[in-house]
Amino acid sequence: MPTLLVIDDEESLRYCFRRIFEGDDVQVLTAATGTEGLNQVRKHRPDVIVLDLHLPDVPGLSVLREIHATDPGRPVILITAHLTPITTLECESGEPFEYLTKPVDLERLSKALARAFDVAHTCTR
Amino acid sequence: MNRRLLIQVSAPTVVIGLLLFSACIGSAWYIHRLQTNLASVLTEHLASQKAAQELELDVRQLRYHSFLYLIDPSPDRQRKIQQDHEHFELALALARRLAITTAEQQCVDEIEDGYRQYRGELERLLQSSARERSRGDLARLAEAHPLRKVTDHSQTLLRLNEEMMDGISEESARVSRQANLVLILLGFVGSACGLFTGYGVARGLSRSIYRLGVHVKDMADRLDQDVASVSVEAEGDILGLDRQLEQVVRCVEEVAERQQQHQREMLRAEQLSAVGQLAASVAHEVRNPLMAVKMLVEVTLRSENRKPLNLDDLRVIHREIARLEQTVQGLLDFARPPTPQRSDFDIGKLVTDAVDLVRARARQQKVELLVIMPQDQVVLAQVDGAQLRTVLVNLLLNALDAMPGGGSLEVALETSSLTGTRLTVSDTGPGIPPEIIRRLFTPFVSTKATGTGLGLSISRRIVEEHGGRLTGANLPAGGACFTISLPAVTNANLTAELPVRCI
Repeated sequence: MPTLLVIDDEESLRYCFRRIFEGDDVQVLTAATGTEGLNQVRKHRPDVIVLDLHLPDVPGLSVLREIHATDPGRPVILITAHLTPITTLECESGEPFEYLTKPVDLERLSKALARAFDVAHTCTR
Repeated sequence: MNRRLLIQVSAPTVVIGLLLFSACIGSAWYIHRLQTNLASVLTEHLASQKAAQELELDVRQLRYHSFLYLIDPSPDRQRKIQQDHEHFELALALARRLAITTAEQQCVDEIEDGYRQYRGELERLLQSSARERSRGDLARLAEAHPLRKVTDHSQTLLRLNEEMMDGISEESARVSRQANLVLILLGFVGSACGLFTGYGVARGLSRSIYRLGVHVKDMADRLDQDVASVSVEAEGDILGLDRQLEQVVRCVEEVAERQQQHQREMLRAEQLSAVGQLAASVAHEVRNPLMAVKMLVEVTLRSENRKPLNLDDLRVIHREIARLEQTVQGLLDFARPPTPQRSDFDIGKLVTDAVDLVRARARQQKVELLVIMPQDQVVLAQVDGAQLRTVLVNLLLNALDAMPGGGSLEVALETSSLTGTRLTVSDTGPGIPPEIIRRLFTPFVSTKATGTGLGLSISRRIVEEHGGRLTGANLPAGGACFTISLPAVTNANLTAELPVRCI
């Protein structure tokens, strides 16, 4: 079953992702910190990862780079609450699958996730 | 100039000067004494010479008058002879008094002997009658031995005196030569000592300058770590030291300028970063709950809705809305000081406290503090003492910042039951620049290199929270003036009980 890992320190957002996307077709895993997220990645090898740029322990970009270091093609969707020209450049430098600004449109998020799962599926296959 | 250097420079000069001065005084005294002795001896000898001359003259006159009288006796001629005798005896007494040497005294004795013999002879002839006088007697008298003896000895006395005068003249010449020699020697010794002392002092100074130069070089080397372009050599002369110091001063100025620039940049960066941080935390605190609410609502609104909102969803939405409210309140609290905790407060005490806080700094900056307030009444107002004191201290510090080179700072408290309480802070600084006078109370506007630009905006808000006004203006005579006006609330007149307050 395709797996989605959400790494975000916001408890309510983790709840929302589980509530909306978890079902018979997708398994949703969550992590509140970067370290916990990386552990989940190693343990469960999720298909798609949603990653908050601002995490309490390590910067989101470091987490992204670490994921890509071992698994270069893994689709990672970056989300941030504060998109400035500088954070945009930072996001681009990490070459995420997509970056979105909070509050994200559900429509847009769903489409991005769908495309990400397609890419992940192709990779795996 | 430090004490050691002063002693090093002046002590040798003073010692040499004193030595030369005493040598000069000694020489002058010696020469003066010699001259005085010489003059007194000379005077005595001159008088003695004159006396000898007079003796000879008188004796010749006496002989002449005696002959005339012997040839043709008359009372008139007899009187003349009498006068000649008196003159001669006076001159003889003078010559005796002035005769110092034995030779002179012998001469005078001989003269007196001759005179006595001559006088005896003459007396004898005068008493005899004219007939008894023979031509032979007259001829004998003319060639009389005693008189010749007088004239001869008078001449001897004269010659003796002349010889002595010659001796004195020689002595005088010798003394004069000696004095000349002493003076020339003094001149040489003085110059040599001066040169020697000068050389010593110059050498000492040069060594001090060299040592100073080495310190300056050390300092320059230390500065060199900050400013790469400095190179200073330790030299031993004043000009070199001057050059070195100029270089160091330039260096220090450069370093200070850099420091100031750095500080300004840091401050600006801090301001920006504070604003940026505020914005970022606001974004985080608002956008995260918004996203949660949005996602849950949107999923419910979707046409293919398979998951309508359940109770848990609503709880999350409710929690996030509460969080948003909290954020908004927090933001307002951040931007706004807490509501004043008002109570009856002695504004005079508030002024005294605030002024006491800045007194040390004012003294350091040589700013004169002037506090004017009603001496006979307590000015009470319903204020938050701590907040209002912050405002006043802020105004006082602004005024002090405007007068780094000293000036006068006046705090005046006025109160009236009609207009309320007014606190005025006026300085003698350069005043508020015209370009910012309109934006004076706008946040982040500051004329100070190290100002945050928040003091006046927060101060105004605090005063307004108290229902008052804070205004700023330039004084016609120069300087700035800020006024806190508080509405009249309570004004207790307690004249009788209160001691006079003095600042």
